[in-house]
Amino acid sequence: MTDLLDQGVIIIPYEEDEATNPAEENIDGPLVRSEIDLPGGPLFRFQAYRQAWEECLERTKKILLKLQKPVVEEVVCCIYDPILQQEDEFLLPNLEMMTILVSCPDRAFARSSIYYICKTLTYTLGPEDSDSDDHLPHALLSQIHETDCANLTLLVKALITGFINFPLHKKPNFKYSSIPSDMHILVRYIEEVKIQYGPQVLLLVVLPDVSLIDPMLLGDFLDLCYCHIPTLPFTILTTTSDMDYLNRVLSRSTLTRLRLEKFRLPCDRQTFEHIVEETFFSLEFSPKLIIGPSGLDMIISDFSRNNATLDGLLSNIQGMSESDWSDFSPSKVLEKTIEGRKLFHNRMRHAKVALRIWNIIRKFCRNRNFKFPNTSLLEISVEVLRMGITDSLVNVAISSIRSLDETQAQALLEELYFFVCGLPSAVRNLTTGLKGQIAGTRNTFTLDKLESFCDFMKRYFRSTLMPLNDIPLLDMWWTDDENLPNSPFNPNVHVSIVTALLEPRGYLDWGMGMSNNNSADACPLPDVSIAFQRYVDSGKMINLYDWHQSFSMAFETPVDQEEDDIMDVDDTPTKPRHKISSSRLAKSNNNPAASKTSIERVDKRELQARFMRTVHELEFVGFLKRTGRRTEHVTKTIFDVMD
Amino acid sequence: MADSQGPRTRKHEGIRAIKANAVPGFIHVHSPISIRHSREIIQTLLERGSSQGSENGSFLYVYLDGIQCFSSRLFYYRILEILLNQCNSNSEHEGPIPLEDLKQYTFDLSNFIRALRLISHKCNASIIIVIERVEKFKESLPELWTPLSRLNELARIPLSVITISRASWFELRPLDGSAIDPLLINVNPYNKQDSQTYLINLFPSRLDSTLSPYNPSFKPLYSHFIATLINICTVFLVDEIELGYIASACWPIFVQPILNQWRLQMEQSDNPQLTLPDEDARIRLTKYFSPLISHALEMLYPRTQHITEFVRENKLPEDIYLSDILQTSSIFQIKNKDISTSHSRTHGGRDVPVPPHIQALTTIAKYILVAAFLASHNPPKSDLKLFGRSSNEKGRRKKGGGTVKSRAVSRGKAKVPQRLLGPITFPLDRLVAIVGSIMEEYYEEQKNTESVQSDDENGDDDVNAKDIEMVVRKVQVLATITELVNQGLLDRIASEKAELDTMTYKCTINQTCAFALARELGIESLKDYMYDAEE
Repeated sequence: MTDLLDQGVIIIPYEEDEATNPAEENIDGPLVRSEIDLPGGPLFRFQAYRQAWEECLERTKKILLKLQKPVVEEVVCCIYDPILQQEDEFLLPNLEMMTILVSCPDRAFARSSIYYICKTLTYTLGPEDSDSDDHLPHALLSQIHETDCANLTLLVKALITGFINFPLHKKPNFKYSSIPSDMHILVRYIEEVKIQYGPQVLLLVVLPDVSLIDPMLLGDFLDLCYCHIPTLPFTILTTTSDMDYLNRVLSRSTLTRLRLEKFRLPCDRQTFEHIVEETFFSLEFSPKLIIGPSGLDMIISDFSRNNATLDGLLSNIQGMSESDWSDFSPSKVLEKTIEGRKLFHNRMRHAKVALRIWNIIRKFCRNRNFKFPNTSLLEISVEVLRMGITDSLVNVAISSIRSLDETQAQALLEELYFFVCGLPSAVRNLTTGLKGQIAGTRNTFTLDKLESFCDFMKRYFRSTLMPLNDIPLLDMWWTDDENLPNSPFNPNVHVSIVTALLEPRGYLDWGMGMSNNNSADACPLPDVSIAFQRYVDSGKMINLYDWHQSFSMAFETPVDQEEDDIMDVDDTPTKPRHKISSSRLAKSNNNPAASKTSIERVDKRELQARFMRTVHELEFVGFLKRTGRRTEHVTKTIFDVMD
Repeated sequence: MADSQGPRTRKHEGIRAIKANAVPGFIHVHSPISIRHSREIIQTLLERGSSQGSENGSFLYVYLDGIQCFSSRLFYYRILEILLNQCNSNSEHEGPIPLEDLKQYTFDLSNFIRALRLISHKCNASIIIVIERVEKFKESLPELWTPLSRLNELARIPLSVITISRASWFELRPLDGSAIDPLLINVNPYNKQDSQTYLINLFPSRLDSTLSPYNPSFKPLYSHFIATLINICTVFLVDEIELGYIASACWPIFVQPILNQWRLQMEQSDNPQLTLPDEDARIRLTKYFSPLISHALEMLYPRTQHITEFVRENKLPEDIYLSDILQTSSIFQIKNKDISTSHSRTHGGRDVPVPPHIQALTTIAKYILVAAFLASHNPPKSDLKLFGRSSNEKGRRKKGGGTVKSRAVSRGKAKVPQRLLGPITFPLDRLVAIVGSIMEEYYEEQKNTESVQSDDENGDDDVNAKDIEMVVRKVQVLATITELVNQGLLDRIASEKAELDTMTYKCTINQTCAFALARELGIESLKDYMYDAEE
């Protein structure tokens, strides 16, 4: 497993005959030591993993929805606002077309909020549900896809068909012969709809990410929609990453026609920390699997350095959870496993409460300008998971509590008491001692009591925030490995291709499937690999004829002699060199014995054809470039091949 | 029509000329600031004319926006359909072409003209085709632009084409001279007085509730308000529509203290004396609100904010009364002043923050942007000098090759520095190489420090270089470049075939932004990497 991950790209071998290889057998591959495993063990583990991951995913999805909810509600309000408020308080010189822009650095997240908005609109207020909400207008939707944005004709056609195909409860009988991109088709259609549903109809146009549409086209499209207002009451809904994008690209005359409402979805470091905290360190939810400190570290660094999208975050979490799963064997000591699980979850619960309390103290102190390290809850959590709480961190907290004056200390105790009382029932019985101590100090508060409270807290932090290393079979409940592969989602393709060409055995099935009956040497290398090995050893320019000669030799000589026959390097095509190569050519032609042996093994013309195909393949991958000076010369494009 | 009369009178004359004489085939109305008034006047005249009939008999008319004619078939279809509908409604009997058969007349120009003739003869009426924003028409249907201008000649029926545009005829006419010159009507923009009258007339005459900002008794105050607004704004803009937009944003805030006062009086007594402020109070009120008007101009003219947002943000609290304002000597305080300054363009400022969408990018993306900026502003030949380092030279490469001035003197020929010429294009390979070179020096990965500690025999630089090579060629780097192109921060120079091995880009961020990003990444002086940095 780890070998595969080191290669960067994971290759799933193509199975031709699926009927003979059912899915179970695929999972039960050569990865597991079958002699110590339960029968069907890999499948059980895979199912358990699936379940754990799905729970985790559900949780994350819920958190994401919660994050989107306020923005979505505002947008929905905004869509209905101008229609519900018929009396406009402003004396606007001209009509405006409502345009809503949801911006978020992670464009996929913004996009998903659009689907959420559309769902909310059609679910609560769509024509199907019309009886319950008579005062609200009926929303018709037209979803325009990126492929429709090639030119104005296609765009308008997509807009019109989108509205006409929108499922309505009472669909008007509508036939109109005209040119398909004629907006008047839509005018007629909406007239029909208004007869059925009353005059208040809302036309919501959902555009793809605006930065993917040509700005000129976008301007023209908006102008065209504006021409039909108010007969067709369009509302444009779209997303992008940059809040001021429309102000930058649209002409002023177009901008003056829009009522531009901008909304911003959060997707920054804080959001990211919130998601991870709520998934793995939440008080209400205890995932079956915890990602260890180095895994969390990697997720954090990947988010800030490479891929600041929530999709990337989710894939990373999934990958992390998976990475170590195949390595444990649950068959040995069942009782110990159950015991270990209990212990682990118990310790985790205690640790979570302690971390929250720590966080309350931190926020309290920072709000009052005390000196306190500005590390977020997540960072502290990673530290604690790694090696338990350090003395310095405990001392910082305790000394800042000591330095509080009477009113401040009381306020802090009040906050802590409030927090402890509000704990969910699952963890409440674990914290009775803590609650008693806080309540006792709070009810009869004097500064002397603060000292004993501090001592208690010191002991409390030390006992709850211990490292988890001593729990038996820890590896089952958390996935952590110091030698984690450097993100399987961000491989170095160049290195993968080069290593695959140099060492194809690791990528193709030979090493694993046939290792028992066939030795690796007996399998011939693919043609590309043979040619590429010679490519690596050559100079800047390659003479195709020499290359071909060297390539042919691989088929006529035994493997151990191959080294000597590696192609003659042609660094600078100067005249003396040329002479040598032509003399070699003459030599090989004049030597009937050599040509005889080659004909014996592989047909010469077939070999030439295979060589030509190989060269074209390498050119296609980008390793070769024609020079244009001489037909038989090509240039190499990579030089320092990493070992 | 060259007299210096008001725009309205002159347009009336123009239209009268159309109706009285044999119809001029082609008229171009040029209104440089806003075409709105020309549109309104022409529309009313056409409506009135078609219902009453002109001196020359009846006419049919079509009014189109240039943006609606994005394909020739659609253009023909639209015109014919509207004409037929008018024709059918005017006469009792059936029109010359049934609507279902209309499509076959839209295939080309000659069919279209045939249909026009049929309609004109059947209804015994002349035809007027008006196209506003004709510059859009010229863009989308350039092949029809000349035929449109000579439609009268081609159709040989009483027909005239009127085009309205903010562009003058000399910018629009075909360069080969194939169009005949139209009858030109130039509409002067409103002067200060005209705009003032126009805006004051916008005040609604409807009777609203007493506490509405558009209470009719406010009209005198409104005229004064408009005068102040025009005095402040006309330096920057003359478009009366935009002035109206700003006025409608400021007026509700302007009258709010008075409304608050009135509300208080109504609550206190049953029969209150609601009076407008006197001359002195009015002057003080105007003085108090003058910063608001300039702020509105700054925010609303470029549409940085929408009117509702602007009013929501600058609304006065309910407990500020007219009497409070009259007593203070301070002026209106604009909230969120920092937003307004960040939006306004400040050139050359050192502390201009990076725009938020760039701030939200990942570290790799920021490195790519800085590298792209360097690649766009350095000549490719200077790369080796600026980024290359020899194996025995530890640490930094040699710094740039002298100032522009010294080089210019030595060559005897002055070269314009690249930063004044704009970004140059660069291939993908060069970008990746520069990213690697900068990251080698500034990008620290925890893993590197560990591997350096364990592996002391190799030089630090070698280990770092190898790791960076691994980082730079990763999938995510390439994905990030594409993402930056989508965000418009890099420009992909598309070749016709969109070949993958000749991808070239251009950097679109400016120098200030690049320097700010570089500082954030820990590159103390980006100038060291620039070929001709500003001295």
